[in-house]
Amino acid sequence: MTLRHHLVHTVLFSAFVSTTCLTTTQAEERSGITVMGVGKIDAKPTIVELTGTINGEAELAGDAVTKFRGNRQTAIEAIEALEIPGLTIEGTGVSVNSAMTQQQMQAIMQGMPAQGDSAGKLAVSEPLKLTLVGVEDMDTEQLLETLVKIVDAGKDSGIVIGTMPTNMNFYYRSGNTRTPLAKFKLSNVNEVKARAYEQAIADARTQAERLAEISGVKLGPITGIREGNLPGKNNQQVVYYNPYMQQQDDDDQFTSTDLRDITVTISLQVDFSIVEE
Amino acid sequence: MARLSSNSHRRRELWGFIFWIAVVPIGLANVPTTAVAQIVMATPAVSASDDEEKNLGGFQVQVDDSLETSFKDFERFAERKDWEKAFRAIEEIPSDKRVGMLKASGGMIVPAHSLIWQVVAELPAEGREAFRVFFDAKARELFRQIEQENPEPGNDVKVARQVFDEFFLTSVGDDAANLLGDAAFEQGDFRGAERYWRAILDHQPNTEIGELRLQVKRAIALLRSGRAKQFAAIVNDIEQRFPGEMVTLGGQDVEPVEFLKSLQSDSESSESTLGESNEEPVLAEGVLPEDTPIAWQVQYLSDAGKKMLDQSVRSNYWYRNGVETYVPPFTAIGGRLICNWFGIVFAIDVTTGKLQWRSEKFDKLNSQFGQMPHSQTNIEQFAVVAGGNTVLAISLNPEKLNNYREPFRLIAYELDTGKERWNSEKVSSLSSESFIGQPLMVGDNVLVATHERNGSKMTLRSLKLSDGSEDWSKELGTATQIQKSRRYQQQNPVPIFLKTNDAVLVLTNNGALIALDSLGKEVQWILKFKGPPSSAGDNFFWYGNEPLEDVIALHSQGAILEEDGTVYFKEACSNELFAVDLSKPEVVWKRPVEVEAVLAGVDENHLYVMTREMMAIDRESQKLRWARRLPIVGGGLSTVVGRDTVYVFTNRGIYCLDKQNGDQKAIYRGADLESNGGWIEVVGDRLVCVSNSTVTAYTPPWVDDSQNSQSDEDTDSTETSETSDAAKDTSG
Repeated sequence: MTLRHHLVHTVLFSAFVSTTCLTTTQAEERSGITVMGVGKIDAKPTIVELTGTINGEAELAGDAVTKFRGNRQTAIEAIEALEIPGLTIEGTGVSVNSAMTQQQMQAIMQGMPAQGDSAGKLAVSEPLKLTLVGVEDMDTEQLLETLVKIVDAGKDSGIVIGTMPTNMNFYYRSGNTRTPLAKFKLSNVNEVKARAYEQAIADARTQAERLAEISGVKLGPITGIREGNLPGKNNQQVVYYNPYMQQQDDDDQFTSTDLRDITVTISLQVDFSIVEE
Repeated sequence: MARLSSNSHRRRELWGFIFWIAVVPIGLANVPTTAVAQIVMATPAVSASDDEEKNLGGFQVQVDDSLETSFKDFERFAERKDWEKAFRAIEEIPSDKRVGMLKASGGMIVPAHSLIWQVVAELPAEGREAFRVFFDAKARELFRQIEQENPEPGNDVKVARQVFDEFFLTSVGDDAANLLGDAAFEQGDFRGAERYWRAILDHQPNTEIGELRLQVKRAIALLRSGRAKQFAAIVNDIEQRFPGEMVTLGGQDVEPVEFLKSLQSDSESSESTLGESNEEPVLAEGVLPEDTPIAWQVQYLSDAGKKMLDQSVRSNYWYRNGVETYVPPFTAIGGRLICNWFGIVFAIDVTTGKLQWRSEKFDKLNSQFGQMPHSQTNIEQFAVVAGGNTVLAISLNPEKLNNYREPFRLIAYELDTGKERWNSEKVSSLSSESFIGQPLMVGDNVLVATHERNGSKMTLRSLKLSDGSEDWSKELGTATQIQKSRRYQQQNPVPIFLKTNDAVLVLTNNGALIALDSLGKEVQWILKFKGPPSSAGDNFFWYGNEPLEDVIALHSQGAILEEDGTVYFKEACSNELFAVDLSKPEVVWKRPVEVEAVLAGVDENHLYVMTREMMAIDRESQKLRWARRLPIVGGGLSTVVGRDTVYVFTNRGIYCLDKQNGDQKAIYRGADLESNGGWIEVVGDRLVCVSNSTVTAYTPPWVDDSQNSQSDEDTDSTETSETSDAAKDTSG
């Protein structure tokens, strides 16, 4: 191999690393090969989660509590009466609020003080989480039938399934008149993630070996792993207000509002050393 | 106490006894009361307080200010115990001048003669003694006219009334009251009679007429006026306080408790006989099973019409008066169901579902739908009632449905044929009046409220059913117009009438309950309470396609119901539910409820109040016993209160709830799931549901099997074909 050939390889290698895989900064000099390995696992949802709200609202506090208790009991009895295997219902905390009239809400939305009787209605409410496990063993028809039963029972018993009416304005304003009722989730996230990690490392190793081969160096052991994108990559995200997001939890990134496979993606930045030959 | 001459007294008593035992049939309970009733006023608390009247708003009643000034002079002197000046002051207000209305406490506005009578009757002992000294000779002189052998016909009642009004505390006051009680009883005004006799017991405790005798008379009057609880209480009281005592009635000595109990059992058997002859509906009970047969269905809003209406609502989202959730009013009579759908009145045979007649083709409304969401027409003003062979509808010509403030007309139809008998538009004295509130048929007349096209004075009119001509009219007061939606002009409140055994009540839906005599002619008292808020000066706020306010979406209406002598009412646009004891009258309790709530039913224990929930409120303690959220989305909030179950028609079917705890016993999906739900009522052997697009009848399980099979045979041939024919017909 001539000097000229070496020079060409070196230039190409440098260009490749600087534009695709390896981004270095002046402050972060590395002596090795750093690549981004990505692992993607498509998994079938195992859980369906529905949120509902039990509400008791009245002029008198005692009435509000009576209504709340009655509505809660009815709702839970109705859901339990379905006797659907794997379906659980769980309260997520009672809240007591002063309920505003629609006119007062309108005033506040216009940036004006709310008019009217300050001693308005009292609202006692509690979000309920209805969780159905074992979804992966159901076919679409079965799942649909089960969901319809739950939603029907909820509606029959007066649970507000999905978004509360107070949040509806978001949907009206955004022109979205369909609100999601169910969320499909993974219960075995860690297991799927582990597989995705393995795949990401394997992917990183494949890339690094390729680079080493091209560069004519020998790939050494891994010297560092960082999860996430490479530094300097544009990670800016624009987050729009979505009231539904208030109900998200840590696992919501592995959630879909549609019945389809959920993709678990792991991105790892892996540093390999170069072994002197 | 002075007594009537023995001959005169005995004659009257004998006559009275014969009258009670032999002449007065149970049906007399419905005999209209004559002018005697106007004297007897319930006993509202006195001492008017201007503070209580402040900030009530709403319905305004004319009060006689000059009379009030004179009356206050009396009160002032009486308070100082300057009796001579006090009685001189009251002498200046003779009974013929006591004609206006005066404010009393507790929000009551009462006829002046009643209030003055009450204040005098409740004077302290010293004042009562002074009153007797001052007026006794005059009263005795006046009363002597009655004791003449051949009094002028009708004069004795007139004289007794004057004695009662002006000189009740004198030695002849009790006799005058007793005579008036007898006269009221004879004329079927049992509640009035009971009040006269109670007045003696309350204010003339030393009367020589005898407490036992008066209590027996009261008990009979209570029994005749249907107040079983009070009757039982008096019988119990007599049993404990007068054991073994006899009372002479009609010259015969009778054991009072035994006598009263026998009257009660006679009354109950007569009532049950009457009930059979009137074919009262069997009390609903149990759940509606899934296989409950659908007897028939009539679709009055065609599919094409519905599309046009929906499109119109979408295109006019800014306005929206709830027209899309409106359920038309209906009434049932003689096996027919009659609806008034935006001025199209139609009758259906309840057994077969045949459309018997209609005032217009249903699709005539289709061309009006485009304007209706932003029409200023008060759609809550449509009404329909029926009685005898007459159907009365408060209506608009469908072509004028969207005219600006078009006056609502009162139209009379022949029940059998649907032929228009008369129309207020063509009666010259009524042509500019707008009719409002469901009319009340009283004998050969109809009582109905009107207001001028752009006015808010509420006038009560009595019209002849035969030709619509006016018998008499009376101005009730001035209403405060209500603005339910910020996008519409203010509208007049829709009053509601209730006929009790011996009174007509008018709930103004504007902060007042008015009690009239049984003919509706004379005001007995007015209960004033907080009226609807004035919207003048309020800021308006709005955003995009916000949901309809509940009070508009649910078409919340006021309601008034009577049970055991107590009326329960809740006005539209008010957040207060009232219980008023009619015998006193006074507010027993009031409690807050939602503005959009509708009082839908009552039974022995509960009031049933509906919003998007069904609530059962204890009648005694006013506590909320249970509440159940239901998928209620539109108007026609109503319930059938059965023996053990309450039934509610929603857009997800008919809910059957346990009366005791509200537990959901069953949901019967029925045949009208595309609608918003609406009215539900038992009519004959059918359970009828009226929604915003159809009328559907079911054959409920509580109907006797033999009746079922007979009805099914009758209906079998027509059920499906007639239904579909009617539906085709309706779609034009």
